[in-house]
Amino acid sequence: MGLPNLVEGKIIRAQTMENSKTQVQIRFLAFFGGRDNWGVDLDITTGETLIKVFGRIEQSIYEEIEEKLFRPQHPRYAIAINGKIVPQDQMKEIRLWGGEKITLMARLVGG
Amino acid sequence: MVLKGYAGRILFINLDNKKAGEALQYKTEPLDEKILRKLIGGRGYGAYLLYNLSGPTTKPLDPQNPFILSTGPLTGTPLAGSKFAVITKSPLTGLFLDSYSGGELAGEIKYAGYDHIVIQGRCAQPSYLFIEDEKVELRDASHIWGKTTFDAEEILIKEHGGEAKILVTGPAGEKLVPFACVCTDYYHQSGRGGAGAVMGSKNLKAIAVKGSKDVTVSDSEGLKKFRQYLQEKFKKSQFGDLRVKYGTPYTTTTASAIGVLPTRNFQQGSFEGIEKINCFTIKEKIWISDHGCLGCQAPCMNFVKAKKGKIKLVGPEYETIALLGSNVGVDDIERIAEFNELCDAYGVDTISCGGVIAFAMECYEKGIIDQKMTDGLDLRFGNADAVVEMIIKIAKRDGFGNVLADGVKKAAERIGKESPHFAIHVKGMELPGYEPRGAFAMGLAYATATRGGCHRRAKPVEIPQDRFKYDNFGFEGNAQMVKKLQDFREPVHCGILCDALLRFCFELEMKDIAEMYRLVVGWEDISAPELTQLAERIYTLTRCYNVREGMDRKDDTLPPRILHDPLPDGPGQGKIIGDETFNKMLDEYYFLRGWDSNGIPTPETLDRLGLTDIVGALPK
Repeated sequence: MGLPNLVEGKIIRAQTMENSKTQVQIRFLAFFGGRDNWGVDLDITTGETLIKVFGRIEQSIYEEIEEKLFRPQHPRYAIAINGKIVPQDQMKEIRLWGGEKITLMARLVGG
Repeated sequence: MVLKGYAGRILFINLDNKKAGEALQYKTEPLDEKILRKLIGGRGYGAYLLYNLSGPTTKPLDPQNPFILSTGPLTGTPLAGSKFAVITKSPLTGLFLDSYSGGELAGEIKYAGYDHIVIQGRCAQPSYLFIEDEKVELRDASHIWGKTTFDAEEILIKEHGGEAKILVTGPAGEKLVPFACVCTDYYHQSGRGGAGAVMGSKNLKAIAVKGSKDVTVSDSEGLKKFRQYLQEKFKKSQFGDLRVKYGTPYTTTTASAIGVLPTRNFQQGSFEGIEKINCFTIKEKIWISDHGCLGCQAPCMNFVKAKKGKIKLVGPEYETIALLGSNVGVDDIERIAEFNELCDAYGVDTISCGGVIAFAMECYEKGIIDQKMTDGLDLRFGNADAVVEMIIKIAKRDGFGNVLADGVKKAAERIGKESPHFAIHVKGMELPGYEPRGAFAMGLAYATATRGGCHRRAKPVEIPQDRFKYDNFGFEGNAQMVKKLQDFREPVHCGILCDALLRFCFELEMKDIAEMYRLVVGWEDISAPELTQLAERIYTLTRCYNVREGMDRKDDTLPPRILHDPLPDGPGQGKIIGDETFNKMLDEYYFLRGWDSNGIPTPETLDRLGLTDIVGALPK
């Protein structure tokens, strides 16, 4: 549950390596910090929660994430991990196992 | 004409088997002021004209099928993104069609002194109309017949000067392809439903319009302030900046992530090649500059490099990326831009064209058709060269292209076997870029759109989720949401302004639309509740048109794949809409609209909406 982006085998392999060091990539596809389409690579410990990893981004950006994604009851921004949206109720506590590409995007859907 | 905003006149033209140079039958009539407040203009008044000028015995390609260019009182004013509508009976669905386009033609029709131009009859030979204020002439089109839309428009602009605004159909329209579009200002298309084929059936290659009049407004100072108000709304809008910077292609990434991006003929809702076809790749690889429609304060289109054409191209928009990208399995944005350019040049709707090619690709991969049938083409998903070949073959009705050229519904009937199961259309119109199994309300929006499988009447996937309580994978709240979204667009489509701009960039509400009408037309007491009732009236009027054509509940449905098969990926993975959920949504929707359980507007509803005299008796 909560890891639709990882195949079962990879989860199991990753879980056996819990607490080892790895990296994730975070990309901002909407305006955060006054600019869009930028990203950071962050070192994480396998099994860390997304909210904890976000806490390692600079404070002002973290606050913006809080404001846009975690505070509203129905946020107009969304998080995807490896291209698949993370359900809102899992956004904070979803755990990362390394190698994930995390994207923050606007829920802008309209052609 | 006392009311501001309107030109006050309708131009009726009968082509009547005339040749170029012969005197045309045409007349002007004043707008009927008694019904202006009931139907306003654009889609509303245009629907009224179509209702009265055609009937069940009028076939879409009959000379007498009216081809109506409609504007509204807001068109040509300094408000957001003027558009015109083509209103006619659709060759693709046989039902009511309204198809919108930006560019400068909308304003020019008003400047020539007309709110609507109604064209009936058929020219004796390929011709084009030249309208300059009171002058209406039929001219020889033999030098542009067979030309692409780009070339034909370029030639006419050289002949008439840049002040003339041109509407043109391409080779596909000449060949009566029922999803042939009409193009204006090179880059703007009324894409859906086959208006280009209606022009082709009239032997009418183009319409050139030149006007010298002004559009007056009731309160010009108030309108200036309202524009400032729009600017403030834009600054506060959460997504306006993204919309302007990237245009509709921003949607691509989100659509794939939430599992509504049509992929390989709607077999999946997410695309593994998404990063190669999203807005960021467009910016990096093919973007040249921004572009906008007449009077737009938030231009959202992109000029991009066209691979083979003489001129640069606007697009590809989201729908094109979805239907001619992920839906045909192509993950190369430069090739998608090339498909876009070809479709625009030959004059075919990118959505329908992508839909029907994806259908053929699935038939091919499933072994239902083979290379003998496809004229030797290897129609695997992802084969970009084959897509190029198919677009041209469809537009020219050449070989296997002729099998696909009548749309996916008829192609499936011809190909047979299990192919109708995955012929993705509603009422004959191919579905656009939102997979309903990732958002069930989208299915209801498609099923109840009066022109067929259409995303421009209601787009539940777009809405801020805090506005409505609804169940993404159930029926609760969906009918109410779809109706509200449809109703919001009606007065905008009567205006006619850009509905996308008003929603995404300015986040306007019905009271704002009422204020626009107050400032432009001078209706001091117009209100949001009145516009909501007007919306219900117009939606029901277009429904009545379709009911008169024989449509009822059985037609308000979804393709079997969408209704009965689970989606294999994305947040909607494993979810099935199913008959029970769908019928619950539909029942509730009919109830909210005041239609009976068969989808027929009740006499009480017609009476409440003031439509009884307009529509007469409906079939039981």
